[in-house]
Amino acid sequence: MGTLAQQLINGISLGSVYALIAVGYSLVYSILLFSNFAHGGFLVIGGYICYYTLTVLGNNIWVAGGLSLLGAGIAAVLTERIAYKPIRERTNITLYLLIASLGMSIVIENIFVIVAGGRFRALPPVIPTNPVHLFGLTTTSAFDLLSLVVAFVFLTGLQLFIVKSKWGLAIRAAAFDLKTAGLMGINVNLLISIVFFVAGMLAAVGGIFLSVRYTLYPQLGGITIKAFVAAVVGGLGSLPGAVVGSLILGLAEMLTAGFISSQLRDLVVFSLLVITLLVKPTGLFGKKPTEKV
Amino acid sequence: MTSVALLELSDVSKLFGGVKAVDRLSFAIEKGETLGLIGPNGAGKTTVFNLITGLYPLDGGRITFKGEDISQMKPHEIIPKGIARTFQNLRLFPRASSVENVMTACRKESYSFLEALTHLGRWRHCEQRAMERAMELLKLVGIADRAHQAAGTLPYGHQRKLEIARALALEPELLLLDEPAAGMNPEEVDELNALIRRISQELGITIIVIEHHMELVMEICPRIVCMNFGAKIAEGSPDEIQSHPEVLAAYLGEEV
Amino acid sequence: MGYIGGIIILLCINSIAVMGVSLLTGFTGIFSLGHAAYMALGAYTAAILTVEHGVHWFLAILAGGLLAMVVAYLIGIPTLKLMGDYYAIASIGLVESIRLILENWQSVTRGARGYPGIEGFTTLPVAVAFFLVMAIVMVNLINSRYGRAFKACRDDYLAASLLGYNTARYRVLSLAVSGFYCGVAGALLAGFMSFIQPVMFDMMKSTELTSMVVFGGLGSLSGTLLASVIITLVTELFRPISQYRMLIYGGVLVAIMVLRPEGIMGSKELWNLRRKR
Repeated sequence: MGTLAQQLINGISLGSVYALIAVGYSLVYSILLFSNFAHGGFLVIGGYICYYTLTVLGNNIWVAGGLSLLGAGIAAVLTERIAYKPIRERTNITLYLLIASLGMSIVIENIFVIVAGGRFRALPPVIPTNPVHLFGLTTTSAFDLLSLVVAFVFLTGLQLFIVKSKWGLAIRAAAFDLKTAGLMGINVNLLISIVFFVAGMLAAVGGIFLSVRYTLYPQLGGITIKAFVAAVVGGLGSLPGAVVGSLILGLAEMLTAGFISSQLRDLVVFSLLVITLLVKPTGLFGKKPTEKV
Repeated sequence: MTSVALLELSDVSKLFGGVKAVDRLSFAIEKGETLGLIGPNGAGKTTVFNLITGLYPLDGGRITFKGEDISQMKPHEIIPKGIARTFQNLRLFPRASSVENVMTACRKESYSFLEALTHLGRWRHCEQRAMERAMELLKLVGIADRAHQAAGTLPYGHQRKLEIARALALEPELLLLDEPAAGMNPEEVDELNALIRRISQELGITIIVIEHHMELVMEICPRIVCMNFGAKIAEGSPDEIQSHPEVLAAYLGEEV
Repeated sequence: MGYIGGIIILLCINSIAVMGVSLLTGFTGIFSLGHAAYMALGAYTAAILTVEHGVHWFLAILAGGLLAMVVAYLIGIPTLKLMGDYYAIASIGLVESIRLILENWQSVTRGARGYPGIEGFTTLPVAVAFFLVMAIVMVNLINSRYGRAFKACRDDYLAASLLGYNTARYRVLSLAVSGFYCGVAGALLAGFMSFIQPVMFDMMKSTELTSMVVFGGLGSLSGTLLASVIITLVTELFRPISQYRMLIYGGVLVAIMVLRPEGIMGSKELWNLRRKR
């Protein structure tokens, strides 16, 4: 009983971190209708900025966190401006964007391989990981609770932004039809930059927590494939879908690791992908893109 | 008069969200006819073509072709039965040459996968035959001089003609032309007029034409169906349509 | 002879794999990163058949290709219904899953430590012969009604379906053939290196192959082969700075998409360049 509760909390906590990443990725997809493979790069950038700030400037997590969010957001905007903007202005073949995003993801990952080396780095322990006893029922780590709370805060913030703010409205319009949104007077380039900045920021938060959980290394971005799967399961382009998909994934992973086998956890993730694609390819909440003939 | 229509739509409906794109539409076309389909923009004419060719599932009613119910079929099942179409916004393969575009539709000259891998057996004969037929069709529509030019670089009028040639390569019994005259100059419209007559009379193909170019429609279509807001509002000869009050109201507004 | 011969063998192997990728991505327009998985299937099949069951290498290579083809076909049927990005993600999932299976199914594959002791059956004549035959077959396939069908699916799948093409079927066929080519390449690789490890068949390998096709031109077989030669040679020459290799790949991919997405040859073939318009 105790273990089940533990794994459930682990699962939700992991899922909430995945959600941060999946939501940013799905947000970009909803506007530009392509899968940004470089998203994992933003995660890694966030992790490394946090690491270096903590080691160089001292152990203030707020400063480190803030800088890393800012840095990842800016990196995301730069990625868009350098690699995607010139392509999307010339053509609407998303294949080119896909390939360019693949290239950017390799570039970012390998910049860190060269600059930071392939070593696994542990973040200085500023985020508490001590055990916490819950209602006498089970023990979990403060880290899990913290990542859950932080993710919740950020996701709620995003939700408020999208629902209540002017730019949030613009984003919703653009997600419906980018071209029309532009014709309605929305500055499309600025909108896209904002979306990428937000996506980068969220990825950075996820990156920080994942660096603590798994240690930091340049290929950590590879974990975004799980966020991609979560986004697909929930429905590409749907933000609530991304959250739900991530939670399902996190739970599935942790329950498998806890009760069946640690080796199989990744296979379970991909099985979920396969099942989704077979049964309902548009995911739980996704919409089928209809083309005008 | 024979009673089995080539194509029949019975109470066909299609909804997009809450919008009735096609509203209980019924009409039929006999073999050999050239039928005009007119109506203001947004009346649902292209949607009708999309429904006939199986791009969208029906939300109500039935479509039969040569007596067979094709309402639930997919495009790749319907087309081989003898229906071909062109598109309002042109859907050529831009990187392929004119001749390649047409050859892509030459499905009858078929050979096996193994023959394709080895270039043995029927490959040479079928490829030659397909090439010949494609060139004939290009000549028919009048663009044989640009046979090897990439379709995306052709002048607009040529592209429209190329689409017709490609559709004809399917050897259809029913040809659906979606605004074939759009963007053409008067000279090209005359050529189109003659071409459609030839397709009907020499090739014996039944044709439905969606058009906004009224002169063309009135000249080549002995019978016309007029739609508005997804429903049929009139059906008859060009004279009848031209003086029909609802048709005039649809196009010119209520004041007649 | 030894060093240069080795390079030529490697070139032949890469070229066979890359022709498969060219068919899938360049000619049928399906962006996939699953190629490494199919190479892995071919490699391990050939390795296990020759080492543990005494099967003749020629049959083992064919078996490797066939297994990869069957797996590609089975996977393709449910997944290729989906367009673009969904499939791309699924293909990444595939590579990772197969690598995981290879690493963990120790009894069959000897796990992450790798599978040693494979007979060195990929000699120069073998590699060149396989390459020539498979190249001719690929050129034939593209210059046939199937080639036109693949290109139609790539350029406008809606228009293709309205010409009566069952686009799903052609996409799966393209994937199956591409799987066969990658499988054979993997089998030949096993016979060349005499040792294979799951980590040899990871995303990096898939990315290498994809970047060769992009570099050479999506829709040009000769461009793909040209790119394969250039990139293989450059990789060998710059082995000392191989840590920059991936960085350069990534940069090249981005640069090509931004500056010249049609790659070296665009959709033209070297052998058609002098045809009269």
